[in-house]
Amino acid sequence: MPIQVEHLTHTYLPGSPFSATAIHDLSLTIEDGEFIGVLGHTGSGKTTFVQHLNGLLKPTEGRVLVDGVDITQKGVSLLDVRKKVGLVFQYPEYQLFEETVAKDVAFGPKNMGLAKEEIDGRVRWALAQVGLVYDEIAASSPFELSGGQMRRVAIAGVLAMRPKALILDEPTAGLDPRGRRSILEMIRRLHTETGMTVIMVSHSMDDIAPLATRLIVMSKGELALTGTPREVFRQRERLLEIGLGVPQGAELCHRLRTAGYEIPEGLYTLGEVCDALLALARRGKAAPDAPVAPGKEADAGC
Amino acid sequence: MLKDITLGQYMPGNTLVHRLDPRTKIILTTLYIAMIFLVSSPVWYVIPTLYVALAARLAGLSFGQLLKSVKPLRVLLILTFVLNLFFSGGTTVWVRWGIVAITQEGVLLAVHFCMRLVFLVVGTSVLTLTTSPVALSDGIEILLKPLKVFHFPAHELAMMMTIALRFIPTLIEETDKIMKAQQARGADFESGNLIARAKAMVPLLVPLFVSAFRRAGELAMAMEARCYHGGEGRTRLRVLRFTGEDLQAFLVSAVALGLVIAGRAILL
Repeated sequence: MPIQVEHLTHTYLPGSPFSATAIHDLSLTIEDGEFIGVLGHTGSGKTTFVQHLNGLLKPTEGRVLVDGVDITQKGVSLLDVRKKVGLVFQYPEYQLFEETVAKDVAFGPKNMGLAKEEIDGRVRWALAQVGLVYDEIAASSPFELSGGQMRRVAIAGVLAMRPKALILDEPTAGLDPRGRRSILEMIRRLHTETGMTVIMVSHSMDDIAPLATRLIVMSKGELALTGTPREVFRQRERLLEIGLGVPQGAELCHRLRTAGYEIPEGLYTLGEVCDALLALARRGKAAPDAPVAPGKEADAGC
Repeated sequence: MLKDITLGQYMPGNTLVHRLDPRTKIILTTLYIAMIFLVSSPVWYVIPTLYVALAARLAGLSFGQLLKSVKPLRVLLILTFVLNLFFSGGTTVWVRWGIVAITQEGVLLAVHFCMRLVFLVVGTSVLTLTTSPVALSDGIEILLKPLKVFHFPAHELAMMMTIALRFIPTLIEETDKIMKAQQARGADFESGNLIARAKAMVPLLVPLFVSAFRRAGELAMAMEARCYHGGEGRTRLRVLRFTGEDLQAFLVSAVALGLVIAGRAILL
C-alpha cells in the first residue's frame, strides 16, 4: 500500500491577511514496510504534512494517493483511509475519554463497525503490542494511569484499527529518558514484527537515527533532504543550516576528525562509533604521540 | 476549520478614539445607549448618526467594518420589523388584509425599533473595535470598584473576564486538535441525526474538559507562585489616566446628548 504525495501545497486561511503557506510543492512516495523519519525544525510543516496522509487536512493544491486512490477526491470514504493509515497525534494521551482503558481502545474499531468479538480481540492485541497487560489494566480508568501508560493506551487506540501504515507525531515528546527509550523500542518492535509502514515525526536526530530506513528532512514547508540516515547525516553543514544537527555519535566523529583524528566518514550509530573509537584508541597506544583524552575512552566503553 | 472564527473584534490602532481611557469609552458608550433610547422620532436619529460617524471617522473605522457588526443581527431585525409592522395597532390604516393591517403608526414604530437596534450595535462595536479586551476589563474593574461597599467582587470579575478571553484561542486550538485525533480514530462529527451527533460530542468534550481543568489548575498554581492573592493592595502595570482628549470626548458627547434631549422637548 504505497502512499504517494504529488505536488502537495497547503496554505492555512488562504485569501485572508493571516494566510500562511505551511507546505510548498512537496512530492514523494512512501513504500510498504519503510520506516520513515520525518525531521524538521518547529514550524517546518512536519505535522501539517502527516495530517494530509489520512485526509485530516485537504491540500490546497496537489494530491495524496493511498493505495492508488486519490483521497483528496470527493466521495472517497475517509473512514476507509483512516483504517489504512493510523495517526497518533502529539501528546495523544489528551484524547482519552472513556471510563475504562478497554472501552477507549475499542473506540476506533467500534467506529469501523466491527463485531463485538472482533473488537475485543483487537483491544487485547493492541494492548499487548504496546506492552500493557490486558487483565491488569483493561478495567481501570485511563485517567488513573501514569503519563507513560496513558500514552501507550492512546497508541493502542490507533493500533486497534490495524492500520497498514502508522504515523506517530513526536511520540516521545515530554517523556523521561526511560519512557522515551521504551516507547522507541516498542515502535521498533511494531515495525519489525508486524511489518507495517511506520512514519515517525520528530525533531530529535538521536531518536530517529537508529530506527529509520529513510529520512525526510523538511525545512520551511519544503523537502530539504531525503535518503538513508547515512546519506542524510553526511550532509552535516546543510542540516545545521536548517537548524537541525546530526546524532551525537556523528557529531563526535566529526569533531574528532576536525581535530585531526583519523575516523571514517558516515558513522552515526552507537555501535559503529564505539568500534571506531576503540580502533582509534588502540592505534593511539601504538603511537604515543597521538593523545586520547580519558573522556573519549569512557565514551568508547559504552 | 475552527481557526476561521475570529474572536473579539479589536482592531489595533493609535487614533484619538483608541487612545481614550477605557473608562471614558465605557461611560460614553453607556451615555450613548441612553441617548438612543431618548430619541423620540426617526428624524432625530440624525444626532446619533453624526455622533457615531464622527467617532468612527476619528477611529479610522470604515463603514463596512461597522456594518459587519450588524450582520449577525439580521434575523432579529427582520423579526422586529415584521412584528411591529403588523401588530402595533394604530388608527391611520394604509393596507388591510382581514385582521392584519399596516398602519402609519406601525411603519413608524417598525422603523424606529430597527434603527434603535442597529444604532445600539454599531455604537457599542465602536467601543469593542477600538478597545483591547484587556483594557476593557481594566476599565470595567475600576468603574465597578465603588460597588465594593456591597461586597461586589469587581477585581475578581475583571480577572475572570481577562482569563476567559485569554483562553478562548487556546481552547479553540485544543478543540481542533482533539477533534482531529478522534477523527483519526474514525469518529464522525458531521453526519447522523441530532442524538447521534450529541453522542459524538462525548469523545470531544471529555478530553476538552479534562484539559481545561488541568490548565486551570496549572494557571492557579502559577499565579499563586507569583504571590497572587486577589485584588487587595494590588497595583497596576498600566495606570489609567484621564487626559485632555478624554475631556474633549466628554464635552462632545454632552452636546450630542443635550441636543437629543432638546429634540425630545421640541417634538413633544
